[in-house]
Amino acid sequence: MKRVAVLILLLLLLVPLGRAETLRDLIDDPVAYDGRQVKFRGEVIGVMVRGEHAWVNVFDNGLAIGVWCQAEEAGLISFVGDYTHRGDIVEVVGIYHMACTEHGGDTDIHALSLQVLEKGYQIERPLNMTLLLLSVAISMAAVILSYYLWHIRKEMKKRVPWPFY
Amino acid sequence: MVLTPLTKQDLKIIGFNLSKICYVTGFVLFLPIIVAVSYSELDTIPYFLIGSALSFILGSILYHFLYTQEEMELKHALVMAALAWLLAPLLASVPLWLSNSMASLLDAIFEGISGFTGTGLTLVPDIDHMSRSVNFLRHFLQFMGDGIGIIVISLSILGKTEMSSVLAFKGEAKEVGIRPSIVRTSRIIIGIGVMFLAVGTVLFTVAGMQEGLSPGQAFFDGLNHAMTGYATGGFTVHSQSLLFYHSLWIEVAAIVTMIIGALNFNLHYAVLSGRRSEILRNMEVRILMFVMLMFGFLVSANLMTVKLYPSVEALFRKGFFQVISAQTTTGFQTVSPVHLMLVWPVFSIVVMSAAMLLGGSANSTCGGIKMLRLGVLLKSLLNEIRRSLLPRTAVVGGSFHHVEETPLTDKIIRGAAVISMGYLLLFSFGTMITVLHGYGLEDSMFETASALGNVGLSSGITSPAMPSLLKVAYMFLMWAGKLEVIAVFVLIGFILLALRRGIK
Amino acid sequence: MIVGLREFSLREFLKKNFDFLTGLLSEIGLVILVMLLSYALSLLAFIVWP
Repeated sequence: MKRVAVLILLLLLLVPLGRAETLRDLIDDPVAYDGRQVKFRGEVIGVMVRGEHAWVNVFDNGLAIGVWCQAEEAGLISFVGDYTHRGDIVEVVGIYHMACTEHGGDTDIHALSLQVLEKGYQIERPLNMTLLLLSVAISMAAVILSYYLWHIRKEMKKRVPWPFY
Repeated sequence: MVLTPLTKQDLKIIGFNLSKICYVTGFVLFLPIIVAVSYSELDTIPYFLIGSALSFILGSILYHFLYTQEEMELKHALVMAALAWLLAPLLASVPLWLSNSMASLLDAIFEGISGFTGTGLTLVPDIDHMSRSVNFLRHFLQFMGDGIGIIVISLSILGKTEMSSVLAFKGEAKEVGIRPSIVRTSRIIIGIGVMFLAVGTVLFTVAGMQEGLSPGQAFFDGLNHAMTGYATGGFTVHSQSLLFYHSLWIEVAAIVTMIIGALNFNLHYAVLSGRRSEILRNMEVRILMFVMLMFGFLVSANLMTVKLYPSVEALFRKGFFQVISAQTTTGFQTVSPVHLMLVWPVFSIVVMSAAMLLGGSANSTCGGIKMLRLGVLLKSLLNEIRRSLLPRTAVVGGSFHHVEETPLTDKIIRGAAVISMGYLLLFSFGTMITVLHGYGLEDSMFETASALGNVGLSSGITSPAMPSLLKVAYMFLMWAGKLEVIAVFVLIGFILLALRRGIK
Repeated sequence: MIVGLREFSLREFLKKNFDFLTGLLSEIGLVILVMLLSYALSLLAFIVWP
């Protein structure tokens, strides 16, 4: 077991710096990557400009991480990913910090460079017509049913003195 | 004591009152349509329409066929509460499931229960690309279910089971029926809740704009976080939780809403109606603050000994923030779950599990055993020691200050002990089930305490890929934990009674 | 609405809601106290275990 661990560690150390990591590698093995230069790709999901720098949150395969970069680099980003947008795909080269000294212990990447590889675009979210018709039908049914039952209840209250009902 | 068998009338009363829960749920599921329209996400509207309409249909059927004018008694109210926190999540899972943002129907129900119980464990695979209206619904569920619903239930129903005079609502006339008391208390609770929601939203929005968010996004995120912060729920708008913002000020705003949400509602009522000194004299607040700071110090010191974090600010923002989030049972996280599992030392994880299991104040939006019970039990322990040291004839009394001087009676101590034991039983049950699935002991304890105490901090066990059996077990733990265990046992007793004696 | 605003007097409002507002302030004061204490404790932890 120990030998395997050493082997894995050696392999990790021998990984050439040019190879692109995935975000899952970085998040799942924070100790191994701490303080090392990493390179990865992902979709932009948030940009916050703070003075001369900016936080760009980059998302890949269900995980996300904050990237601390120059404000000009962040200014080149045109689409931020959300429900109706596909964000720009960026390639980040930077230093990975498990607990950053500068930013109150946050897990982050200080970018050496941030490049927009692919521009994002708007995602059309068309209405599902069948579902819409179904929803209208059910809503109508709900309105009619509740009115009908309320009406019957009112009539019943008139007819029957309540202690017996 | 002979238990009277159940009558059909009992079931009728419960069902009739459940119809009102259906109406409220229908309203809750209808509201996100406003968000959908204002962000022009028109494609999400059918999901909410269907969910809302189904709730209204079920509600009116229950109302009509189980119509009764008989007043609810305590046993009906308890069973009604237990069933309501199952029925409402089921209804809320319909739009979540239809919107395709959950991996399966089971996940959607899990999310619904996590929402209504104010837990905050989430199974959404991709929160960042979720539509704003569905995302709003998740947060709104927590605000309605936990921020308002649970306080109403615990002030006017659960409070009457145990240490009646301590837990029940103080601004209420004595000897009123359960239904009028629910109506009266909920009015005050909604008023105060909405006020704190406004304060929290302003804090978060200002902090967000200061940190470079656009005003629109700052408001949307702020509103949602204020709802889940006050409800000590813990859902967030982004998959990174609060780490997304990398901001001290957002975290400060979060701490403000979390601690305010963790205070006893009777205390809020007393302080806001002019008895300001109460906030320092109240036994529960003192214990809460002491325990929270002590746990925070232990965790910070432990993190410091393993040299994980490099600065004082980091200790505050990582160590203390996580502990405050755990103790108030909120579940905002500024450390990624994998870090909690792999990098944090075991001692910190165990301390945080204890914090989550103990929870915040009674009659607040918190889960867990609650500080009032801890205080009562500690005091009675001291009394026992005193009693064995003093001569046999000496009378050992004692009282504690909670809004008013309350004598420490055997009835109060018994209630606190029984409920604490219920929590511990469920805790060991949950830990065993998690360990059975092959997770480590401390992570299992952490995740179980998180589900049972309705916290929502995760060490990475809760994910869409986790085994279905574990999902169901956690759903049960969240539900039982939120209803203070006792309502669940009453429901089980109700069912057993019906099975043994039949329904007359 | 606008007429209501014109008749709005801050002094009256404060007088009427004095208890409520000071109550709110004292709750926020408690929270700030807790935050200061926790910051002080993290400082202590930082100094004691260098």
